[in-house]
Amino acid sequence: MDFIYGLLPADLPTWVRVLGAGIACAVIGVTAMALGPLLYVYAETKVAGFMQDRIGPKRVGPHGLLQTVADAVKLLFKEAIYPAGADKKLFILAPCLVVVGAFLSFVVLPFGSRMQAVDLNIGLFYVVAVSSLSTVGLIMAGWASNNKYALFGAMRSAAQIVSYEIPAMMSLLTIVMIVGSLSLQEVVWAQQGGLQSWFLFRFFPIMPVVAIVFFTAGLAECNRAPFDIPEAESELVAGFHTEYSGFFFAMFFMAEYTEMLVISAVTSVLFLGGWWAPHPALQQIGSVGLGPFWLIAKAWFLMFVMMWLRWTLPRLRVDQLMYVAWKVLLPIGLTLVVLVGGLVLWFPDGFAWDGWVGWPLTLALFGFLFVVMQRAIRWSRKRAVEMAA
Amino acid sequence: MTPPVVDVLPAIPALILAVTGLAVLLAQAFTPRGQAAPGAPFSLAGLLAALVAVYLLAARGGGDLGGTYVVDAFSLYFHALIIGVGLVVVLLSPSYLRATGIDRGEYYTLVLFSLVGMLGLVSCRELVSLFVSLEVMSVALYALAGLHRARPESQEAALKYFITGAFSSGFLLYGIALLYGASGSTSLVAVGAALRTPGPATAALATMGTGLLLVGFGFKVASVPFHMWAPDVYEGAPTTITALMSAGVKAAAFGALLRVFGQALPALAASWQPAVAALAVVTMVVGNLGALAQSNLKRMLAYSSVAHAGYLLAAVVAAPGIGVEAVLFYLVAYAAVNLGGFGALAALARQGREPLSLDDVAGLASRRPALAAALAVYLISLTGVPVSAGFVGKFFLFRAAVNAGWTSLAVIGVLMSVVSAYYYLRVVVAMYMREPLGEDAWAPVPPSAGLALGLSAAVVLALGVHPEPVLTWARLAARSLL
Amino acid sequence: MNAEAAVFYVLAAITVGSAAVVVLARSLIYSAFALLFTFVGVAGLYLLLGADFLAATQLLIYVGGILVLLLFGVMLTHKLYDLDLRSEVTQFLPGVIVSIGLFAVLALTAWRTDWAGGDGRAPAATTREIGQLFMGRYLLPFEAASILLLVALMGAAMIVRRKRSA
Repeated sequence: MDFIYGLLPADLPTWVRVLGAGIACAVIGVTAMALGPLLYVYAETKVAGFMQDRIGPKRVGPHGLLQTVADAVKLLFKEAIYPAGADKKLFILAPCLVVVGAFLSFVVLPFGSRMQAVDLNIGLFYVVAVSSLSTVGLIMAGWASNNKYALFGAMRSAAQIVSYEIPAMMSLLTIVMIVGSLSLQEVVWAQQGGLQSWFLFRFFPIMPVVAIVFFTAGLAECNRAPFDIPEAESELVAGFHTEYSGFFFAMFFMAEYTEMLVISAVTSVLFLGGWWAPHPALQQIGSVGLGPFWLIAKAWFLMFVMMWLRWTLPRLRVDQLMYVAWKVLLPIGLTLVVLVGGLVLWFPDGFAWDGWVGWPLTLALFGFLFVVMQRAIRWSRKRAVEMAA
Repeated sequence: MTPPVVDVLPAIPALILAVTGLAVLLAQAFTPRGQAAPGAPFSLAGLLAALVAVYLLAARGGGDLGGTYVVDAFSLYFHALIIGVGLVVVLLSPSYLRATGIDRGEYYTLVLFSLVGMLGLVSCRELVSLFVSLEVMSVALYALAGLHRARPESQEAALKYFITGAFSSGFLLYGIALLYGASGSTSLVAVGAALRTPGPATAALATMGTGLLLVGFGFKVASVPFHMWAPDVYEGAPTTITALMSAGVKAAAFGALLRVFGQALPALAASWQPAVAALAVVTMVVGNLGALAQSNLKRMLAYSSVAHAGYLLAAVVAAPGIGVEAVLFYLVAYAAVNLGGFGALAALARQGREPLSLDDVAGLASRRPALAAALAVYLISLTGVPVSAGFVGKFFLFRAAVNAGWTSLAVIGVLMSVVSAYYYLRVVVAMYMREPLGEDAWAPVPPSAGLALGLSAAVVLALGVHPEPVLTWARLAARSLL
Repeated sequence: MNAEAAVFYVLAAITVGSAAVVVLARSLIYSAFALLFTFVGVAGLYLLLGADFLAATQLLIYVGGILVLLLFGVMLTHKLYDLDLRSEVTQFLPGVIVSIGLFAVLALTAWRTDWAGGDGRAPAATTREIGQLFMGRYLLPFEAASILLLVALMGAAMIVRRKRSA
């Protein structure tokens, strides 16, 4: 908001500038948020196509670029169907709540040192808090639909979100302890100075684990594969939004992709330096700051990782899902909180190898994990073929 | 940013109990399925360690933790009493749990946690901490009351206790909020100071808050008209837990009541004393008359505990002065007696049954002479016959009331004690004068329970004959409150 | 009436109105969902008072935790639609008299009290101060609260657990 405020001519009265900046902010923000999913859905279909050795959408527009636009238009003009016995008031209120919960997080996302709607003191806490509105919305949708699959889906999804919120909070806590503030802007500032000072690459063997825990929990919180039990089509048709059609269905879709973006952006802010460039020289071209570019690039990369995971990994079973949350991620998260707390106390300046050794090692670690997973998947496929034979 | 430094030393007894509770829980978690972790020995060790810690703290002269938690002579006195109650309950428990088939790993942990809450309750010098402690104690007891899953009475007890308890917590919390509104602080000392110079505007608020606090505490100590839950809960809960409730909860609640009303609200004494006096009168009358009508021994003891809350309240009326030491002394006597009474019933439990009616204890003297003698001692002490702790205790209670100018309370108390003789001595008569009915269905007294019962009987007699040491200590504790 | 007062009255109306729905709604599910607005209204009031951390906590714990669990409980309730929540009224008149009396006394007290006000300025960032207090002066109640939660967890688990198959 400050950024736009600065752009407006200084001779206008203050309230006009504030109002103008606010409205401009809101218009840009809401438009970007609403239109973003068009892009993400297109990306998803293309990524899915690539992973499955297909081409993906290609008919509507060049390279199928207008496919999602067409889909969106179709959804908007479709009739909204209210199932028999549905609770109409709650049926309509539910998608609104879900969307509001997803969009509210944008208020605190820092796209640049001044490009942030509000730098709340309690930014991180706020992000977690408003996302709980969506949970209630999901349950409301499931109940109001008067459909048992919808209800099951809603309950599974709520259980999942509530469970995975805890490890996510634990890993947030480690960052908060290091920074000493809940403000997202301050978290970003604490990672000043290029790649090597991003939190992902600090305290070498520890912070990567924190990042993985957070990202995994985040993935589960937006009900994405491999944690998409709530909408497992083989069991529950489509989960909580089984009965939704037309515009309301579009709203759920929008909320889901928005939430993905929020999780990715928050992960970038927490672990990948937010709007900082990998090298200080890349921070701006001439006098044009590239902060928003870097944040969005990082967030989009993480969204790509999400899609990649979705089309690679098989879906977990319900009990496995809860097992992962409570018996794997939570103990790890608790251990990390204690560990990082001690590190912050005894090594306030970080480890000796944090500077230039930490990040190649971390990247090597991720590469290694990648190879291991690839091997494991290949092995299990081969095994499946053998078992079938 | 430097982290604040807190000296947790004064809270060591409570910390020891809490850690022991966690250790028992973990021990159970790591015990192979089908086996029981050694919960009782663990708990005993923890309680003894806590007792040693209390002694060391006393030698050190107490301490203070950030203004929220204070260990003065008053809290040390209650610490010793509550940990003693805990020891006796844990000694009584193993045989009872086995006999009734409710030997669960969580039992000792919950008992220890409720003791932690009681310790906090008597030591908190700040209303929010007080409330948290109260809830720790209560929630643990709600669960314990429903431990006996197969018995509907136990389920009913848990539900009733939970609902009335939650309700009374609401009153207490509302009272705390109003007091905060009137004084701008939750610290007892600050509230006291603020109310000493009351503006006309806040006086009504403070009085209202005091009234709500009184209702909340009234529920916890089971005074009439807030006593309805007590008979059902005391009857339905496992007997060892009933013992813990009647001895420990009552002591802790009275401790908190004395501290709050003595430290924060002496300025309003003129308005709460008549209310407490009225509560005392109805509690004494209704409790004793209710007990007359009971045939179930646990219910009878429950009503008797209501009646005793009335006697204690009579002395609380005299509180900021001489009343405190009388209450403190009587709580020890009363705890020993109740632990003994409920403990004796628990010790006889066998195959899920325990003696509940007069017929069940008929002729007990010929079959379990030692136990019958101990039970007789407790009942006589409850009546208040000389050479027992009950007599000395009641003497001090009523003297406090008379000295404070509430002679009528003392008169009613004495009259009601006479009434109570009927239902207490009826049990003694049944044990000694009647022939046993049928087969001997009761368990032989297990050694640990025997130790516990002997201990309580010894305390009852010792306090009756030679009350001086405890009385001195109570006096010291009462003085530290002012 | 300035803007702040207007916001306050709107929030207060949301809070009290939805609380009334919670109490009066026939259907349990409406009560539960109305609770959402009560909680959000209270969070708004906290925000208005400058207690940002408290407001976020209110949302996180009450909406994200308690309300969700409550909804879970409600939805697992058997025969939700046929459930008649009204229990029989046995002591109607005494109940009415006591509650009206209590309400009158409380309202009168609140009305006549000269409430101590702050200086009208929102406090600076509260998070750090709250943290310092929890780790300092209020360390013990803070820790005791964790024991309280553990006890509640154990108690709940103990009550609902199936009987051991033995």
